Amino acid sequence: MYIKPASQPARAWTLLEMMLAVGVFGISSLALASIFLFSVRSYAALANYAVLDQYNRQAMDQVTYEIRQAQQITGYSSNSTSSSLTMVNGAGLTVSYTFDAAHQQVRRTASDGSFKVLLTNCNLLSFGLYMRPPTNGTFDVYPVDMGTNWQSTVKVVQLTWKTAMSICPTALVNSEDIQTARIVIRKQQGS
Amino acid sequence: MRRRFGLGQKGGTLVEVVMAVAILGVMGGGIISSINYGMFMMGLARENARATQIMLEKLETIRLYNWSEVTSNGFVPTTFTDYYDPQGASNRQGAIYYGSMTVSNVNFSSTYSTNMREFTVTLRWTTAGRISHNRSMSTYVAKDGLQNYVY
Repeated sequence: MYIKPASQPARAWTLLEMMLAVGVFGISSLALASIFLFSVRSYAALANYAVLDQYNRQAMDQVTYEIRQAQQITGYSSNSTSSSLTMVNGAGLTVSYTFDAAHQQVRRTASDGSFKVLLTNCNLLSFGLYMRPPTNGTFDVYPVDMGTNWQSTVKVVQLTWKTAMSICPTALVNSEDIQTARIVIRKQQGS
Repeated sequence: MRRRFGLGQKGGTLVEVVMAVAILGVMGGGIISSINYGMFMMGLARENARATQIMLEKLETIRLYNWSEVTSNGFVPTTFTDYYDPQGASNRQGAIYYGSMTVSNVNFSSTYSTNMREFTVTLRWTTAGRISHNRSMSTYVAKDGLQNYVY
């Protein structure tokens, strides 16, 4: 029986072997890290898209339903930091939709005291008010002339909004959702 | 009996290392391509949702036309173009939607069928420059229908 003595020194790695091992390990680690980061960013973006889409659809359904049934648009304002649209809805309540650019929110307030934040992460919302007559040969309608008694001429509301989310507060925007709608007020004038 | 101690084990050969790296590469490529496919499908779902909005906008406008405008040749435009992000900069508006609108007689016969028209809006767009899509939506308009009720 022959037992190899433990004290016999094993051959150490050469410098070249060590450099190769470190190089291969470094490249593999970099590849794994970049795949991991790519996966995390992508899954976060997908999750953000899903969240934005869910809230946007709910908000769009609510706004569309309420404007379509409205008795009359009674107020409108728009500037760089906020915009709002006020109407008497189908149930006779005075309802306002307000966009607050500073807080990136769209809120709904009603004369029955109810209040709801309809959208968050909203960075753009614009309302357009149009009259009844359609134009010949295009899908356009004529904008409301904001003079005396303009409220009674509003028949179409065009709205556009954008919501966006980042994967963290310092990252670039990586998920953005755009919604547009043209809504014809169905209510007959005077009723 | 021979016993070995310490670092006397045989290392991986070049072929083994290459195989291991190749397997890792295929796994990484699979992960990345599956994520890319997920992003592509999400993008497609968003483009579809936007297409629905565009078609609804066009059909909503039809509610404003009176009967003579509905039946007037050329009053309702036959083609239009829209964008995924109409508010975006000129080169960052996303998918371009090419639309068409047709007004036709209704495809059923009845005493009132001559007083009805069928509007069909069709959208065509391309995803990622290579996959074409078509979607359409139809609605009926009646001579004594909604447009007489709406002021």
